[in-house]
Amino acid sequence: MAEQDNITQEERPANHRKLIAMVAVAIPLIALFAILGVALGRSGGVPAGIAINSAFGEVDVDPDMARDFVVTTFGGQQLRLSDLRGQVVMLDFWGSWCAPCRQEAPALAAAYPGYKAQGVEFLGVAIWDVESEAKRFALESGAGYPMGVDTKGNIAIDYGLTGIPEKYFIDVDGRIVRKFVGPVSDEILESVFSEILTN
Amino acid sequence: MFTRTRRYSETTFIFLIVSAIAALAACSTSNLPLPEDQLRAQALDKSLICPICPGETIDRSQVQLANQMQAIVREQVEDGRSDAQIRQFFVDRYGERVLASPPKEGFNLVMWIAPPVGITLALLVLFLVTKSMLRQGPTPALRPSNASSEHDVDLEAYLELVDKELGERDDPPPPAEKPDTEGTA
Repeated sequence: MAEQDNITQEERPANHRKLIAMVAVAIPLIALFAILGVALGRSGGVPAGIAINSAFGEVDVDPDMARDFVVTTFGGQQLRLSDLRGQVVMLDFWGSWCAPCRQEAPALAAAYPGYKAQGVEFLGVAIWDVESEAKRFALESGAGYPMGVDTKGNIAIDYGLTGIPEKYFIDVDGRIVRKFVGPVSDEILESVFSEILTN
Repeated sequence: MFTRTRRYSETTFIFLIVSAIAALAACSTSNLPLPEDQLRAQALDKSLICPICPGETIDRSQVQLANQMQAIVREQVEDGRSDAQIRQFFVDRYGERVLASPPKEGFNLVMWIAPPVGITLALLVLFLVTKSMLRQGPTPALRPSNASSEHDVDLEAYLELVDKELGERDDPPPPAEKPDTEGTA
């Protein structure tokens, strides 16, 4: 009986050690998962595909001046973004290799004349693309608005692009007021433009 | 014949080496004249993450965006901008996630402090546990004594009982058994 008492006394520190070891393992694990969770939240999750915006929707922007750039349009004209000041501009980043961009191109081409009449300009910039391919696709889509290729990639980097299609809506003062990733519907275009034009 | 073959293989080997060096030189995106500028640009490449291939720095990534970022790094190095200014240029456009190592401020401090603190704590716990184990000597299971656990105590008691009974059986049989055997026969 006395021996049994000794044993339970010996086991007590052993259990104590086990508890310490478990806590020592659990704390770093919990901390690791917490950091991973926060990091995932901050990065906006895992991208679904390289350089294609598969998550559609509006992204909040702090109204800021749109970075200026010059693009050579397929018509051979040197177009500077700031030259369009005074008009509402929809800056559309696209690529001939990007399926969602190809899908929405006919709708954009069809919508352009109506908005142009209201003082809106569309500007398409093809990124990470081959000029000949982009030009061929632009002709096929029948879009009447100016389009060009970001040959050196500076424009894409200036706008911090990680995927296309991506659209920036710029007001008459040259400030970015709305931003959408993924293709946009006719209804979204209408609501965004009516809001910007009435302001 | 043999020497001729050997000479050919030597020539081929040298040719291959020279071609490889030439190919490497041609592949290099660096067009900076000064070697220290080239080293700076290479170090900057290693400190910037390609935004569309997470986890890969722009010196490793093969995508077009990474190459274009490398070109911008070289342009800005040539223009005399500082490392901090060049890194800030990309942070302004892509956010802090473009940096391979997060800046030492705000929440990011956790990422810098957690690993050394974690390792120190783990070593401390390891030290304390080892020390207490050494102080207590070998674990009960390894002790020569049979009575090392509650289970063994029961076993010990049982074995004692068995020994006792066996000891009784080893004794000469009691005389009372005799008439019984006779009766059954």
